[in-house]
Amino acid sequence: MKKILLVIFGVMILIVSIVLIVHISTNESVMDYQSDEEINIVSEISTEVDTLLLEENDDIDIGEMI
Amino acid sequence: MKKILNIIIVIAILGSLLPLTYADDVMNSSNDVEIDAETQQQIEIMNNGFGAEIRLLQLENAIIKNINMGNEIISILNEYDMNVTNFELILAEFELVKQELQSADHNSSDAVNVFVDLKHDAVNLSKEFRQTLRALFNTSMLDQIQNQTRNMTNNQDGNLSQHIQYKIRHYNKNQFQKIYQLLGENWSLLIHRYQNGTMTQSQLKQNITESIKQAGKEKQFNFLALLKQEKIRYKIHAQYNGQNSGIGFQQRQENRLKGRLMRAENLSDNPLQTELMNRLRLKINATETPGNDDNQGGQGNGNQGSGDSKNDGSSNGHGGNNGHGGPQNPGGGGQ
Repeated sequence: MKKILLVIFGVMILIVSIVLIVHISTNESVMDYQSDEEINIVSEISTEVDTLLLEENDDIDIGEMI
Repeated sequence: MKKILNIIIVIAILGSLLPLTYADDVMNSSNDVEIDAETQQQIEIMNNGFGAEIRLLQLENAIIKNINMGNEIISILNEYDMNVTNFELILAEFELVKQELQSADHNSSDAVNVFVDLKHDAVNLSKEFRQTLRALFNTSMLDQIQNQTRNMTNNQDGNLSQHIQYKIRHYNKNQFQKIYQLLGENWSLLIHRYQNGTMTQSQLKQNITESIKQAGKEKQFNFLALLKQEKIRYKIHAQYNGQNSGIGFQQRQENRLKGRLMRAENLSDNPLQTELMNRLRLKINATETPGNDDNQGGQGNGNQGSGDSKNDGSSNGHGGNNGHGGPQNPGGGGQ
């Protein structure tokens, strides 16, 4: 009887551990995703801003003479 | 029976429209051209007089640089007792292009056409000069000439370059104001500092990035959508202008050449006047020839195309003999 209880207890600990590991890893990946998404929006905004501006040394290329 | 008759009538009507479509294509191919991607991008800012002024000034600056470089090369060639007439003729036409550019009105509705047309001419004249030079010298000699001209060309056109920089700063100031309006914020003090030169463009951009990082998700998405909308507006405008510039391109080219010929007639004090006029007449004949795609060049000045293989990315179609330009791709041609 005692052995059966120990086995059940062990299995329960195992299940809880697995659930915890899965939960933590999922949560981390969601956080990573959110962070990536935020970076993407900011970098995309930065790119769009660039396209609306001119570089101060911008020039027209008509080709070299040599 | 009635149904069959109806179907036959519809087919007949559709069939009669086909030749019209074909005729339209033929007309387009004879006189109209497509603008290359680089020029298309450059005309994006020409949707107002301010942007148009910047592009025309930048083109003028590029032409002046090449004329100065050409003159320097000619003076080096003179040291070797070489015949420089062909080079001088190219520069003489370059001067006429420069004058046309300087007399252009950036507020005019055809400012985009002027830019596209004269850029096309400038690219082709530079290419013609380069090809003529490369046909005469080997690579080591060309490198030597390049080294000799380097010091001279470093400090050219300082005033015009500074003027352009000032105009670009002013243009960017307006753009920053627009961007901050889209962001729903008022940063007039920072924009003022940017215009004064006490704040750089990258610092102001960094400020926008920091501001957007602190904003909520919804505001970030909205701002991005507004920026994209603005960009699309520019692109549509440029597309429209680009298509319009492509229409009647060859006819405009012929008119430009005729205008240059008329102005060359007044250059009586120029020893090259006769040769310059002959050169322009040949070009006009080439553009007038029916079915001529203007890619053959053929100015008959004896300089066979050198292939121009050294770092030559021009997208303008050139044939063998000093070709003066393929209209298939006006304006463009990064080197």
